[in-house]
Amino acid sequence: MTQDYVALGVLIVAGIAFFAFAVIASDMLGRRRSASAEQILTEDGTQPIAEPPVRFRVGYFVYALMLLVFDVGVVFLYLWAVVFHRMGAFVLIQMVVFAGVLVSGLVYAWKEGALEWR
Amino acid sequence: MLSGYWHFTPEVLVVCGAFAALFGGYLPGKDRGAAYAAAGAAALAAAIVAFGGTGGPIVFGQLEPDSVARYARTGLAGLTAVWVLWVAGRGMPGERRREGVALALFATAGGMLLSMAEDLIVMFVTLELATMPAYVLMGYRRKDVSGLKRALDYFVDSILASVIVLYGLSFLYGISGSTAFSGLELEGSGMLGFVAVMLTLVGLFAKVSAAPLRHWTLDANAKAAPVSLAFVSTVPRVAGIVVMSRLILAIAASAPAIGILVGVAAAASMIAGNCAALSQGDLRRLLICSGIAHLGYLMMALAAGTETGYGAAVFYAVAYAVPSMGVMLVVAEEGVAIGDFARLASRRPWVAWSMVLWLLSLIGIPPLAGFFGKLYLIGAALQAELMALVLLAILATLLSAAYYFRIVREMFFGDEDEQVGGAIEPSHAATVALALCAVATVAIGIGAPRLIAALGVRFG
Repeated sequence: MTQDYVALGVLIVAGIAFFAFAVIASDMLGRRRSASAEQILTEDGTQPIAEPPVRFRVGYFVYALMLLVFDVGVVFLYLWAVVFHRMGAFVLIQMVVFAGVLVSGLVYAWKEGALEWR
Repeated sequence: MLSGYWHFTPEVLVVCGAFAALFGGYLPGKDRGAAYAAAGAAALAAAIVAFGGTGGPIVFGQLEPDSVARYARTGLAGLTAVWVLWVAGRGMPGERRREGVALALFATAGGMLLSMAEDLIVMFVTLELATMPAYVLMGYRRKDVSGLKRALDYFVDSILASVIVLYGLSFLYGISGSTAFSGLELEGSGMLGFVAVMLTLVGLFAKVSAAPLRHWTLDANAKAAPVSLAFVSTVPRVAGIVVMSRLILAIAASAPAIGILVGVAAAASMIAGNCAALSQGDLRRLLICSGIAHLGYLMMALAAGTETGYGAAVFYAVAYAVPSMGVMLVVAEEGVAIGDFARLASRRPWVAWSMVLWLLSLIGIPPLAGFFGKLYLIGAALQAELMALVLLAILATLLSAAYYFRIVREMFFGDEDEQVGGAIEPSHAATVALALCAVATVAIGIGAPRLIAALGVRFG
């Protein structure tokens, strides 16, 4: 019982130490830059050499959401396919319902023009 | 394997209604027709639950359509039907109705499943289904930047609460080796059990916004469209309260000390909610604060840790939500400042008297829903000899009359010059929705003894 909590304590100490090491080490070893962090565009601290040729539209999140429709589908379809031959018609109906719900989402997006390339 | 699946008929109907609304462009009447179709589906679902039977555990014991779930599901579907009907009449602010209606129905389906949940995993998944559409509804006005900022706050805080719940549930599972509510066994789990219960309760309290974890609600909700708030502060919240009550009852069997935690949170919610509500001029903020106070009364019964307390709490969840939705819908029509209600009694007497009815029910005047709700809560607390909490609840109720009557005074004796809004155009659908809220407030009150008996609550 007590050993479990010792393990938990070690985990917490290790977590804090890791965090502290990362911050302090980078502070001591890292190169100082004149520009403050807020002005740098990229996370790694490299100064951009030119303006990007195109502007990315925030609207691209729609494509990410659409990807999710298929992504989530595949996660479950794969597991379903593994056990399908043992479960029979019932799980087939379940998967049809599940896929139907996902596909309706896709149809809705299509109908609303979310798939138009603008 | 399919036996018992007919219990899902109402949920399937609600989901079908949501899809009908999403593709409402093809329906006659387009946007408005979509809302009517959805309202019809929700109303039919409520009727099917109300008149359908109850049953034992289904789907491998993960869901149980018992009498408590039947009551909660009827209430949830009914409230949604009323809300969607109102939206069909008056529309969503700034945007078309379809998506808002569809989201509301998805949340309702989640809430209905949630109130049957007897399993930690099912509980978490359906809790997310019940609350996620609320995030979008809170930021439904896309052009309103400050509202969107608050919606983002709401999203982040609510997700944080979900994650804490999930962390707590993982410990509960780890301790008892079972995800079923009936299999939760915390006896002799010591410190770890304490951590598990604390995390779960902290998350759930934050989710339903009980004190002392309520601060975020006021900030996150205060700029939302009142019509969104009417839904978000009733349907998903009732579902959350029902499952919280279920889980507390399940845990209390092997960890009676949970009663102290719930009792302290109940007292804190009553005090904090009522005191904050006293000074609010914005009716949205006033109703949110009073909602926290009502949750306090409700948790007083949960602190008893008995079947009676559980039944009384679930009864009150719906008995509180019905008048609360009525008031919020009128706020959506008239305006959010208390001055907007000046002389409402001479402009729209029926609406003003309905408001009086709802406010009296919220205070707890017989023979309305709120009176019997509070009576059962106090009865359950007295059975468990929680005298201090009962006294506090009675004092808090007296205090609450002060701010509810401020609205009544404004409606009947207010200064007409303060009123800025023009006349509201008549809408039959909205009128019917408000009338349904008023009738339900009286009907729940009159039918209370039978309803509470059906919930399995026995006094004496």
